[in-house]
Amino acid sequence: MATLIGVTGLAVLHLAGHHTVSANLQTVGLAGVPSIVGLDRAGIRSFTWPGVLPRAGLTGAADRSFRDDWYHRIHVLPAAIDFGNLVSPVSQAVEVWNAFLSPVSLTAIEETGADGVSLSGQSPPPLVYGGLASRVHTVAASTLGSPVLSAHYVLRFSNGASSALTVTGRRVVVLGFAPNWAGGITERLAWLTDVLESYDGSEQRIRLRSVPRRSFEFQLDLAGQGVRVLETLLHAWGARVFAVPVWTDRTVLTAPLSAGAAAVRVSDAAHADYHAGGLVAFWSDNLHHEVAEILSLAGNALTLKQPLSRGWPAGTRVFPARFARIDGDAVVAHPTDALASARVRLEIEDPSPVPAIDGPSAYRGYRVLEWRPNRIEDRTDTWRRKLAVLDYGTGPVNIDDLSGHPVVGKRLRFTFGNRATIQAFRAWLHARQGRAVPFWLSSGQSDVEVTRPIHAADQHLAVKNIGYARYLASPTIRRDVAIRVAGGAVHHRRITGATEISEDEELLMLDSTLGVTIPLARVLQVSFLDLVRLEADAQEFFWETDGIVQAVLEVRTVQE
Amino acid sequence: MAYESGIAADHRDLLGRFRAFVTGHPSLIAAGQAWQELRWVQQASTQELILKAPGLAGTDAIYAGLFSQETAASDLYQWQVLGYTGYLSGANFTGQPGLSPAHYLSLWNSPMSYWLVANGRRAILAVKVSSRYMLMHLGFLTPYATPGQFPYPFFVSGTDNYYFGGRRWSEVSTIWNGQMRNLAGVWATPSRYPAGQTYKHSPGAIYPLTSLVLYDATAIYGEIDGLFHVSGFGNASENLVTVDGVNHLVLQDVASTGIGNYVALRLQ
Repeated sequence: MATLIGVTGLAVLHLAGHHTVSANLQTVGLAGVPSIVGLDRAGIRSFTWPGVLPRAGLTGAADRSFRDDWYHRIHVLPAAIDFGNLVSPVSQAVEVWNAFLSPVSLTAIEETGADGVSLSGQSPPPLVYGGLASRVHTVAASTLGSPVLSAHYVLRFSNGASSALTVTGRRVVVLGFAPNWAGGITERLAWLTDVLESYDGSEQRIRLRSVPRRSFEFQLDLAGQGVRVLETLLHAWGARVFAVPVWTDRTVLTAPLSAGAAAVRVSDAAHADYHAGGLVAFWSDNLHHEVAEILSLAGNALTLKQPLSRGWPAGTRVFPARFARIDGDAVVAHPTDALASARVRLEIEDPSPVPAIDGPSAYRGYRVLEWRPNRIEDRTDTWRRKLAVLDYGTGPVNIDDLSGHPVVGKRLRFTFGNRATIQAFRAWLHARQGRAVPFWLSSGQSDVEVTRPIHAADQHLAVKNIGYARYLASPTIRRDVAIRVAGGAVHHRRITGATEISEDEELLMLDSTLGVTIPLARVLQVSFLDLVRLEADAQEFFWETDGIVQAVLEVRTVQE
Repeated sequence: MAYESGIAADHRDLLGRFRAFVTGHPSLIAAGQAWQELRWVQQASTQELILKAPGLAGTDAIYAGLFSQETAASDLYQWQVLGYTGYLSGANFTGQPGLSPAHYLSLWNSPMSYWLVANGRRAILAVKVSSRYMLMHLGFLTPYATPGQFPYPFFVSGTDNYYFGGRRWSEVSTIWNGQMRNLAGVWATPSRYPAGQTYKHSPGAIYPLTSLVLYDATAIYGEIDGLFHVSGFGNASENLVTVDGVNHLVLQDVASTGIGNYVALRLQ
């Protein structure tokens, strides 16, 4: 039952829609309502009615939401660190966030496999983390320690929570023995192409590798301490990744670099193997060298990720460096007990794509090779035919020419004498993609001899009779010519037919006029053009010095 | 955390009580979460209070301002409620850094029941004006992000975002007038979920308390700590819903009493 106690002089109070109570009350009590006060704090107009409304006790349940997954635990951010290939000491910040709304205390850090890895930056446990507080710890890994980094930390907290941190990576050792240039350095680029040849000799070529594999092969001649260090490395690290200077891309420091420097100037970075995220090696001799990581590259200026750990005098050689493994057996010969001569092939682990830059001139959808092969050795061509031979050994031999045309193989040797051309040749090779992309190759010979001047409107060439009209009257092969004119112009045309004029002269019909008049004296050479592709997916650069490259291309003709 | 309920004599007394509570409540002081008073100026018809909350670990700096004004002739008694990102002692109330858009809490100059909950990160005030319930939030959300990712998740909410003098307490229609400082550091108006959902209690008359999640087209920011959506089915303001022994006060949306118009405030 309600208990009402009255006070005079107050207005009428409307408690709720269906209750009207005279407000001249001092205390109101209703059965079932826990606390009801009507009070007069500062005079008669300040009558209030807290708790007058019916108040019920209900049972509730808390929902589950992302809050429960995100809060009420300890976050370690990031919880896994992969330092990758470690060539210099590295460190990374790790945020430990107490996502409990109340303070907790870090009671212990348990570590396993922390060989050369340290967790620092905060006071040792016990360490109080306030509610929602975060602290930044530092994980550092040095280059000294086991080959494989595999550290595991468990952070234990006073309320029973724990969180884990995993650190992984590989330590990389520099293989800093300089090659003996007497034998040169062979660099090999290997693409992979699937060539499907049909019955008539035409083919489909499928590129299987977007970036070629790259390797270096050279000879090491070492003595004394160098032999001992090499053999130790071969024992301990033989199957692992080395950082290997790209010996062909040498720069010499013109000014000394002090320890702590993080910027280096090299020469001709555009034609060397420097790239952001890659490595740079400082080398003074076989036993004194250092590798650093390149953060960025602007012209010839390199910015390093970490400052150098020691200084390097002017004259120190600087090379780009690559991660590499020893491919196959390392063969070490010992002429005496203190000398060693090793031949190693190093397979690059991190091939970077070189931009594929093709030659400027194009003809009928394919590029024309611009470089002229040299004649250090005889240029040899090989005619092959696709023949089906039926020979039972007793009767006559039956031969069927399946494709009806020969496949001509050519062997071309090039010598490149400056870095810009070498780099352009490399870019051209990348555009070839091994066997995948054909190109036009001029025979380089005077294949037909022009007998009369060429007029602008002429759609033919008058040449000495080579039997073209007789043997290749409706040409499907050997029908493209390059007409080299004094002054450097080259006209590429297709022969559409031929007519014999006399025993000595024939006319070759062209698919279009040359558009210019050329006196006979100005015609330097008319060569046949063959559409060819590389015979092999792997191509080698033989570096005689760091500025001279010999390369041999074997090519074969293909159908257009 | 700290909780208090009582009756304030008027809007000025209520601000004084708010100030005394967040700066001096024993449990806040014991936990190191008492708010620091940066400015307290009382004039004849105004009061100005600027506070700095320390966060849960004492390492945050959460700046908030409250300003009470009255126009007795129009029967207007309001608080202006602001969030800041810093404090300049020489600047006036609306000249502080990172100022939020103005929000207001519409009150009167008569006694009011109030319920006040605060910790080092935020304060929530529920006030009963006549038979209407007003609500104010001042401080941080619990964001779905680390402090490094979302360092200043301030959510300021009153009953009104009109200029002072615009609304009397009886004209207010909703407690949901709030803005938060988003991930880009810009004050934006988030949506909330649930909003107006009209479900019943679960079998056995158990009322689920559903988190109030703030979101917009760019992000889901987080939840309001200690305030929940609750069904109004068979429910009424000032009922207590008990979850794991903790009382939650049921409040209606100003004067609206539809099933979807209720929230529950954790009294702890």
